[in-house]
Amino acid sequence: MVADTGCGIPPQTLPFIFEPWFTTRRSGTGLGLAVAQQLVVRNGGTIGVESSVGASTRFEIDLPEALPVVPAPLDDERLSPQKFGVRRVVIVADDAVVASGLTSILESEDVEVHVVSLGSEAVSAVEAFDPDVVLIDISLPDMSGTVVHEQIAAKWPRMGVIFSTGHADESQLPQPGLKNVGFLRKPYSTDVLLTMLREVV
Amino acid sequence: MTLDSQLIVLLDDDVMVTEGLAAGLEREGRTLITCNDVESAELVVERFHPSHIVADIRISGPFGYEGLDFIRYAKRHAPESRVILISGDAAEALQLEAAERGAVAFLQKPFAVQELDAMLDLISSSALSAVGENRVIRMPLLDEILTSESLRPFFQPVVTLDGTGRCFGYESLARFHSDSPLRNPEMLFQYAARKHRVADLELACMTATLKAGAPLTERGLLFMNIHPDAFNSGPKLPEILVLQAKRSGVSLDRVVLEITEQGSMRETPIVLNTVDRLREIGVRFAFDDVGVAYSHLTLMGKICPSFLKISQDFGTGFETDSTKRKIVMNIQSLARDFNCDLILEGIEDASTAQAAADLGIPLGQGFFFSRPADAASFINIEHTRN
Repeated sequence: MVADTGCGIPPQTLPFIFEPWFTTRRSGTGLGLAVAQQLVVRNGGTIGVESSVGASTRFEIDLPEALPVVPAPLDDERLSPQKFGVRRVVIVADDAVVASGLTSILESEDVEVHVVSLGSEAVSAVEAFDPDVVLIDISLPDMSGTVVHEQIAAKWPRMGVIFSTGHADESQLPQPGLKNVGFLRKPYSTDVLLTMLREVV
Repeated sequence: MTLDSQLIVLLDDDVMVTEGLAAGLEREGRTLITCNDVESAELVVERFHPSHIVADIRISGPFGYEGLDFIRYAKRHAPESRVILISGDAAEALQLEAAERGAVAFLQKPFAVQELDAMLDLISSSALSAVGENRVIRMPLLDEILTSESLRPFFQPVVTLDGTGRCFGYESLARFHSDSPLRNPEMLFQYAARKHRVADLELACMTATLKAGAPLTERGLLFMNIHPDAFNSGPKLPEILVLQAKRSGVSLDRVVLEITEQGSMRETPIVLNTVDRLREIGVRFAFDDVGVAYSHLTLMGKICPSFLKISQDFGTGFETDSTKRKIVMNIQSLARDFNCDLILEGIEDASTAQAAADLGIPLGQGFFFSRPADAASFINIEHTRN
């Protein structure tokens, strides 16, 4: 938490303070808060602000706890396909290299995989293949991944869906908090992928 | 080995990309090594001089241009390697810069793997690959290694030289059981050093040693190597020792930390506090490989080691080499003056063992007694003897 007892920020200005290049001063770049927000978000955290004019401004930053460098106990249970209960996955991704990498990793975990490269092919693939989870690349050549998700959710509301995103297309993400939906930010590790698969089913 | 045998390094921070490329490029006569961080790729390039390197421009997120820097690194350490850059961003300036630095081609993502496949065959390299077999080798990331079950030490007995051959203790030796080149402990530690995380690797090895070596402590002391850098980590080292020893049921007065000669040790308050704290919890110290490199003799009075170890460089066949013999006898007199027990490493035959016993060296270690092996094999030996 960072707070001051200064002049405060007027309510009409408040929605714009994290936008790049926004400034109320003559000098300065308007990048300070934008950079701060980016840093917090990239580290998986949230930043919020409260202000009352003439009295104070309060910024609150929530950051996830750092991963311990100390190794986990060696007898940790390893994930196994039986344990995460995912047997079939549909991948919707136009990058054939990435789809092939995902396929070989999932197949080595005894998961059956079906790949389509266009969003328009997703619904019929799900119908034909009957997966436990659909993995959707957010940026597809023919439509946004969120639209693909809406189509799937309309027909199969309980279907587990995982979005994978690059750094450039985070603005396209649907609202967090959706049920049975997970997000993977590239690059992600095999362990993160397998954990996420287990979480969304 | 055929003329077109290729050793290809694939560098991308996205495991899905390296796995996908490897799956699509696999063929007879090709060895593919996938790397997901710059440090492991550097290590592989330096060691194996690949024929081709396929590298993403951005390895650590949207702000880095490590791929561009990597071209220079490759040109310096493996000039015969041909570098192909891949990137989602195909700005002309980037392509020009890549060419300027010596990349032979540029592929914009997403691309079909067949395109890269054909390109690799077109771009020949004078590099002669020593491993012209059809294999995909994945370089694991350090964080995966640190939490891996495959980080399991070997042990080598330290034996009394009084003629009884009684086992006095076991030295643990870090081993990463894997089909990647990091199964070589030297490469494993070099990789950690490039990531400036030797101390983390040491602590993970220590945890694995206490777990695997716990049954051995009923028969003797447990000697664990420790890089001098680990002492700089302050209270973390003793804390982890206490925690892991408790978890594994090892009493800390059975533990000897062998301070290695792989780095220099400075007399800083943090280091001295760590030493004091370790002594409080019952741990003893040894100086490993005395005289080989840095030598921590200036810290002799502060650390008060219980043991000095003579490296196999001096130990093996010392009885027939007058230089080695003089060095061994000098370290012996040092041990006597400072009241340390001496351990001679590198005893490979009976005559060296006899000569060491004749000099009055109390403890020895080497292939003559036993090769390093996993803890279970020593426990089994005892069982069969009984």
